Amino acid sequence: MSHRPVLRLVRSELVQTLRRPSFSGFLFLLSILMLFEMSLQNQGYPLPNPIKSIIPASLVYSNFISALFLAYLAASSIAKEYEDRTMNILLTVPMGRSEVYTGKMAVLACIVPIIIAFDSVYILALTASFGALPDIELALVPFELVVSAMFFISVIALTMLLSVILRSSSFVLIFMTIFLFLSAFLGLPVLSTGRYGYALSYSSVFFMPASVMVSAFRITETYCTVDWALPALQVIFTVVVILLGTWLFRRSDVWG
Amino acid sequence: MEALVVENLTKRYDRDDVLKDVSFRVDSGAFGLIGPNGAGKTTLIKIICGLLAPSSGRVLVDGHPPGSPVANAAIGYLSERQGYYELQTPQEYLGLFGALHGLSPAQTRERTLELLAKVGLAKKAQDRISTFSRGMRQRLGIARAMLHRPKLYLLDEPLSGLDPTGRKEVMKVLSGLRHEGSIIFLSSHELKDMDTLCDQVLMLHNGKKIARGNPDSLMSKIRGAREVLSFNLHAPFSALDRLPAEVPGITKFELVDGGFQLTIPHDPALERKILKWLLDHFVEFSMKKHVIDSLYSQILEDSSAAGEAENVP
Repeated sequence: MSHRPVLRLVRSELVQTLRRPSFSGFLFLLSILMLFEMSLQNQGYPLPNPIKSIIPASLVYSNFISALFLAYLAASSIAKEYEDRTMNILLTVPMGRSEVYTGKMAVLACIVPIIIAFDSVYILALTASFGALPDIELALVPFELVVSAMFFISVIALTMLLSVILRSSSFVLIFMTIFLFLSAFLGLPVLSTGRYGYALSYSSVFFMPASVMVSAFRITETYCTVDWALPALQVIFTVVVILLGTWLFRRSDVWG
Repeated sequence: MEALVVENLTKRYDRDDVLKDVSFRVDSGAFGLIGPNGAGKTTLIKIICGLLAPSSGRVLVDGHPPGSPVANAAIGYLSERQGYYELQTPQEYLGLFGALHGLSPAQTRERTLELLAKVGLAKKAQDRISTFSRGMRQRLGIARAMLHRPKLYLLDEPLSGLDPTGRKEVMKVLSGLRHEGSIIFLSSHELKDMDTLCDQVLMLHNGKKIARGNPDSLMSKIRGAREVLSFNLHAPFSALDRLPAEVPGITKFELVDGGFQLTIPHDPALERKILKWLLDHFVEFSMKKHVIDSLYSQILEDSSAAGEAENVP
């Protein structure tokens, strides 16, 4: 069987997603947040401590909002289709269920580079703002972006899995909001101290990329060292979640 | 190769048998599936579509297991409560499914225009689906099911919840499909929907097959099947009470507000005699007949009276 229908599903869903008013709204919100943070940073370096602590916080906030938005899209892609009874019809097209599931995941994965591009612009803008800031490890930025992308894909995978199980976009979003909030802000006090070791201890594996990004800026004396164990753990976690989601999606009955 | 084979199909849900050992084959024409709400019609159609897995038994769609890409390519499915991408236009909606069915963009465009004209939605091609009435949605759903020229149409309650105009519109489309020689598998909880369209009707009750045949043969199978004729008199007629005595065979005669109601055995000849008697006496009236539903009720009554419904070969 040709894979062209899968590509068409990906293309069609991607176009629909990008056309959503919520998508442009999200990018607008992210831009406002970044501009706000940068306007604070334009006060000059060195910054007073309270403002300095906003810098890592802003990264966590932007990651949190981005992750939440991806969770919303992923819930719309699966749970909402069950709720709206459009899934019934989608599953009667001549494609395997695994292809439908991975196709939908591919669509959401295509959104990730857009968010990462925003993050990149933000980091570059920060660098420009702090021109003489010696602490920023630019060499780590590509690594941070890759890890960040992995984190977003983990969020998508987990949301899709929950959508297959719960089949209610509201329940899925409530769960993901609480989960991401706790993950992001439980670790925040630790992150804002810049103590990478503490971050590893306290922030969940799932929100680890934020801690990596924060620690890379080295706003205190603690130097960041890249520990590959956690990204590796996250990759394994993501792959398991994707496989479990695909398996459940293939096997589940569609009663509604 | 038969379009649809169902053998000893059982579906269990929460320890209840939603379908019990149902078997039948469909190879041509229009096949109706009838039963009251909860009889298992939707479950059966969803199993055929591959949306539900059977607990036991075997289903083959065009020789392939349900849900496989080849089986899905052979079916055109209209769901009972069909969902749509509300922000899309019919053209975009059909375009999406044309692509998913492997049609080229040019084929999809051509087929979309053809089908929208066929189901009477050509003028609405650029309107959002969210603005559509139930009847228009059903017709769009049928157009989507027709898009890839499937071998077998699986239509779950296509007439449910439609007003008389909507029913007429959808029936017209279905009759067109029927005349083109398509194989249609259609479910409804009202037998009258099947009367004009289906060659064969399968009756389900509590998940079991209780009868099968064409609507006429089902009628003859049921002893004592009754029709209820309701007459509305346009002018008073005092000698009406002579009717039961002068036309033998009327089971029940009842005066109702503005007219009268007769219960008679299913017998077209008797019906003609009654009408002739009324015309001979210059009675002006309008009449409604509830023959199909009474037959259906009768079958269900007989099935209940017999205790456990039996499988009919």
